[in-house]
Amino acid sequence: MPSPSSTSSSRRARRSLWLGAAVLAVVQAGLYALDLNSPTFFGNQVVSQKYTEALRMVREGPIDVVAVGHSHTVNGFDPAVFEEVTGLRAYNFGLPGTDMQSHATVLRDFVIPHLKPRIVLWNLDPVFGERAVQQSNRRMLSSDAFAVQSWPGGHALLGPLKDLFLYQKRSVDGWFETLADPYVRRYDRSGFMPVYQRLGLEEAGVEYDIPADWLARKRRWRFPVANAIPRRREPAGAPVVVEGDAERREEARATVAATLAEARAAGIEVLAFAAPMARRRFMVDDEFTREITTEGTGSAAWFAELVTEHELPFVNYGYFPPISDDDDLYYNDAHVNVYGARLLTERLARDLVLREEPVPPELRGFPSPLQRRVMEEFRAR
Amino acid sequence: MLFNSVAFAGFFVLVYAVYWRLPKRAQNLFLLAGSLFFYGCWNWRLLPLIVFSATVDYVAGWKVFRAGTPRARRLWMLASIFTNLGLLFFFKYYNFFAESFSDLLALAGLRGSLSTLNIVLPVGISFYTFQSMAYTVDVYRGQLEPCRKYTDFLLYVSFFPQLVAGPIERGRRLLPQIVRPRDPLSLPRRISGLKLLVIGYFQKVAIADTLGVITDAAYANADRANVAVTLVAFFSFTFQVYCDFSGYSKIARGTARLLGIELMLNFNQPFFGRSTQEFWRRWHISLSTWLRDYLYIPLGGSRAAPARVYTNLMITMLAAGVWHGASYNFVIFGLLQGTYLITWRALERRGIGPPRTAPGHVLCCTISVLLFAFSLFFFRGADLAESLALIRGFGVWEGALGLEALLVLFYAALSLALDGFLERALRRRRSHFLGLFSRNWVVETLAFAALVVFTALVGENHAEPFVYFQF
Repeated sequence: MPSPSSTSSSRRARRSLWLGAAVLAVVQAGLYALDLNSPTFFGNQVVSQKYTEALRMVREGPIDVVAVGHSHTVNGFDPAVFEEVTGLRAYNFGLPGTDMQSHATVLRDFVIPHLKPRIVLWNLDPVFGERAVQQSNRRMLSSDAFAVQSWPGGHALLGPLKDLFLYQKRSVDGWFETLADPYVRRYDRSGFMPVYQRLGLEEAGVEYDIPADWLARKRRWRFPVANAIPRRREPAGAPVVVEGDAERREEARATVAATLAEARAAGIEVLAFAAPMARRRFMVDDEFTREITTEGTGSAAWFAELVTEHELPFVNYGYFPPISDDDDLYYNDAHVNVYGARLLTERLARDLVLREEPVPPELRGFPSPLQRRVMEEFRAR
Repeated sequence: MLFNSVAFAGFFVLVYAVYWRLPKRAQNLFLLAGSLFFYGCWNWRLLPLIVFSATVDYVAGWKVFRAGTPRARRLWMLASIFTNLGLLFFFKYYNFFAESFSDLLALAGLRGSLSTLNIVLPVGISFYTFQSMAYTVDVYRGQLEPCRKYTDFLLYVSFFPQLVAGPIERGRRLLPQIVRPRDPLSLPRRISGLKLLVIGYFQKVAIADTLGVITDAAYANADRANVAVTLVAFFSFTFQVYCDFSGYSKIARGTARLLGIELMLNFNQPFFGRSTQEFWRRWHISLSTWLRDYLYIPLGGSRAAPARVYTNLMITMLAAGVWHGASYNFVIFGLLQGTYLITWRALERRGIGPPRTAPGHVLCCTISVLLFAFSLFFFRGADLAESLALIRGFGVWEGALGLEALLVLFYAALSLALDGFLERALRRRRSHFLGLFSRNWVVETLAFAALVVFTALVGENHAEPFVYFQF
């Protein structure tokens, strides 16, 4: 027979469990009601959000075209414009800060088996050798969302899991920013749409209700982790190793080759493109210009090989005067705003998908003749 | 399969649900299968290694027990030690010694080298070889009877909650629990296991992983470190490694408790230790007591002339350093710990011990922590050059402490508060003013719910490996 003290401690334990469960349920309900979205740039939230959106879209009807790549795709490819021009339904599967290994993994594990598009638009743009990018990329690949989607039937779990507050993890500063900022709270659905692009939307007449002092307040609220810590730059002249470190590079190459073969076997056409950088980006002799000119190192040389070896239809808009020369189409040196995205998407649709005209020779190869020309122009000064 | 991954959550829920529904006789076999599966998820090719290590000690234990002569007993014990240390040497230290040998020859102006091998370091090898080896030594010393069933012994070596990063259990403690059929867990016991999990995940996910981002950024800039970068690295990694490992140990204890098995306490508020000696009695207790029982005391311990005691201390701490990894950095880490211990002991011999007043207590705790934190430059640095570059940052009076320093401060305070208050309350030290946590179940429950919410809402959003998994 249990002693009175053990009965009372059991009762207390049971009550404690119920109270704890109730508190957690209230928190979950509160978060649900607030409809908060993670301001974190990388990790589970973006991946699971993308997967869930894509699955929802494919349930409504077949997706014809999927664009994969990193931030250049996120910002540069507009599915609505694409549909306007081609009549094809498209999904933007860009994942910011990721490299070819991530793109290939997403294609192989998710896009090819579950979305079954007719065409894949693959954005071949280097990500630069910052450790931070490589670490983020690894984090993305080792995130729970990637693990869960690889389980049998796991992709169907991502939707419900996404809504659990465990999946809404964000840093202290992220919460501070979110709660303090009505703009982020209301509109930043996935947290990776950069501020300047959103300002571009506002200029375009989209009602986004941005407070006048938003930028100033944003600067005040931000908690940059590396505030006092300078970011490491590669020494001048050093070979730039991107797309993961040297060890992972072979792995990435193998994954990309296997994925391309799988796509072909599934009857999917893979088309490749590079997104335009602002003209001023070519002025400085830095990682970027070295990356696209140094032969035998970095991603550019690999991309060139890839295009030739797999006979991928390819357009290099890396330097594309109608977009690159117009600063009003950018919110920073590397990323176009909504106007730039509209132009780029239209060109992609016409040049690469509809193939209204053959790709001119100055938009072929890595680097393209146009890229070489603009760099030489700046060097000559 | 990391403890902080969805995969582990799924695995553990499944194991827990099936385990308690099985007849008692089948529970151990099921746990063994689960443990081997867990280890196989890291690298199934290395499963034979752990089975081999366990088999050697199981056989050696019986041979020692049944040997007719002291010499035979001793030989079997030595066979076990050499086998385990041989495995450890081959997988963990061979390349280091081969490279060091070549460097030494080069210093002497001679040519020659031992070729290095492309060896995979088996996860947790330092932990399970020490645990397995200690069993044979205990049997040799007559402190333990050999385990009857081979599968029980294999479970003792491979029990998944403590397999990859300890605590390094002793046969005397763990084996009787494994052999004895387990009674159903009471609800309060299950809740106490859950509480350990909550604190462990809080330490790991909310504190250690967040500090890890800052530490990584600081170490990535070691070659251009200034005083601000170095200070951030100094404090950030100290609290990161503590919360990471202490968090792991609590998760291990919590999961084991939910399976009806008690693992030893591995951390006992180390930052409240008033000397390096006290610090090591509270930090990674399973390793420090292992080294005390199987190395320091056999060397002669403290019952010898001062010079001999100092030598014993230095050898023991050097072993502790090298146990962590094969590099000069860990050698220096060990040497520093040895030096600290010798210095504290020498001071005590001259009657200069930790004062009994509260300010004196705080001062001694602070000194002890700062000394340890300094040695961590060598623990964390990828190589000697990186560690020294960061230390040189103390002399570069540039840069300013940014908001990341505030974050470090916040998390350090949180970590100390958790250690000082909540844990203490958890152990029912009602004399403490925050004994309220243990007296009032509502307050206690709300505190733990707050930890869960905090972990979920501000934790790093990916499964970051535990620091000690590399050992």
